[in-house]
Amino acid sequence: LQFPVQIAGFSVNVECQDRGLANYLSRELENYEGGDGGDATARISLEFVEQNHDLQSENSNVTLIRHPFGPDILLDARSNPESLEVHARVIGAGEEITSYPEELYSFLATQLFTLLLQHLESNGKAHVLLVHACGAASEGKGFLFAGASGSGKSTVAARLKKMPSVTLLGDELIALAQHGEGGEVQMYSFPVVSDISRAEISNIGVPLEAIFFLSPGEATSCIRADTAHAAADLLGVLIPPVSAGPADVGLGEKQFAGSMELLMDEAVKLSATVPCFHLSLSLDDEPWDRILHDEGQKGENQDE
Amino acid sequence: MMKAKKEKTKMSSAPEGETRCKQADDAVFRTTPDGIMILVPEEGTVHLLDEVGSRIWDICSEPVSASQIADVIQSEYEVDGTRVQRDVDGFLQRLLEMGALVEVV
Repeated sequence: LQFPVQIAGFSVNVECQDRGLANYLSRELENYEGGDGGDATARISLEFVEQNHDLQSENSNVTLIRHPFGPDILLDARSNPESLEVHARVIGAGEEITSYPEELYSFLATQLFTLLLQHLESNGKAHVLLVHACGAASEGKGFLFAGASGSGKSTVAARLKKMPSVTLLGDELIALAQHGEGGEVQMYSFPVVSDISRAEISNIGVPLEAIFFLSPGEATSCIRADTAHAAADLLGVLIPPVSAGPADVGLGEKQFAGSMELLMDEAVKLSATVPCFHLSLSLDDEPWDRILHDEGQKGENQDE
Repeated sequence: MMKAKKEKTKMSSAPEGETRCKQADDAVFRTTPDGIMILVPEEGTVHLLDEVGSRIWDICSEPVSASQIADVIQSEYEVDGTRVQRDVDGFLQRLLEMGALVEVV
């Protein structure tokens, strides 16, 4: 199965040889279909293997992923100038697996989309980042509500979607892309959602206007963050690059430091470019008009 | 926040026998307009340094003793010497524990 999709402003041709995964992808990417697939081709294949016959040490492109909710997966990802090739081997560990759970498809899809952004980046198409955030657009401007799990992203999304002037881009992951050095940071929907349905999000790109770091609170307050605190908070919500080496569970200390160094650079740059705020949100308040208009304006004024 | 004088103070020489410290060669840090971020890989955390902390970090780019640092901070920020020495000692101890600073023999 193959179909063109628009992800983070790029037209990508997705090809999948596994019927179950292809059905999952075509359903999940319904909002993203379109374009001519001219920017990249992403191929993903899926195979069952009984055991990990040391495939990992044979090939430095292979990463063993210990999936917490299912079988381990060996992910072989190769980024060529022409295409991204991802081959996933599901390891049975002595047990025959006849059908894959939805969670496994969801996990593989997230890996594929994340690798795709890296592929586009490594081919010089754009500078792309993924952020744990709820994203919303209002009057052509993009607002990120960022935070770790449980910080209130889905709550914010549930409340923003009721506003007629707001278009929701996602409640879990948002892609940020910078087309060209020094260009405007655009935010895009990313095909991974948490509590909202696909139908409730729009696959559009808007300039990033402001970032709000979420925390629950007794009363609603919105305070401009200085660049150091904003950069530190961004480090907690930016998604680290997928390990390219033969890493086992998680990243080693050196890899972690290397990955964090890259993220620190990104966080410092982003915090200097986009106004950031600490948003403490009381469940009783609906402060959206003030936040999406006044705070955005404040950011603009302070930057001038 | 303590206000710094405009000019940076020249460093006095270290008293003989006093331990000196400097930034670790593998310390990972980034400078922002509002302070310095230091990564602590063992803890998986990032520490933020305020204006004075960032100034001390800057001073530690070369081997320096705690009393030399305290002299600079006292002079630049016009604060009480005893308290500055205590605060500098505590700050250096924490950065040494984090592995961001190392002692120099």
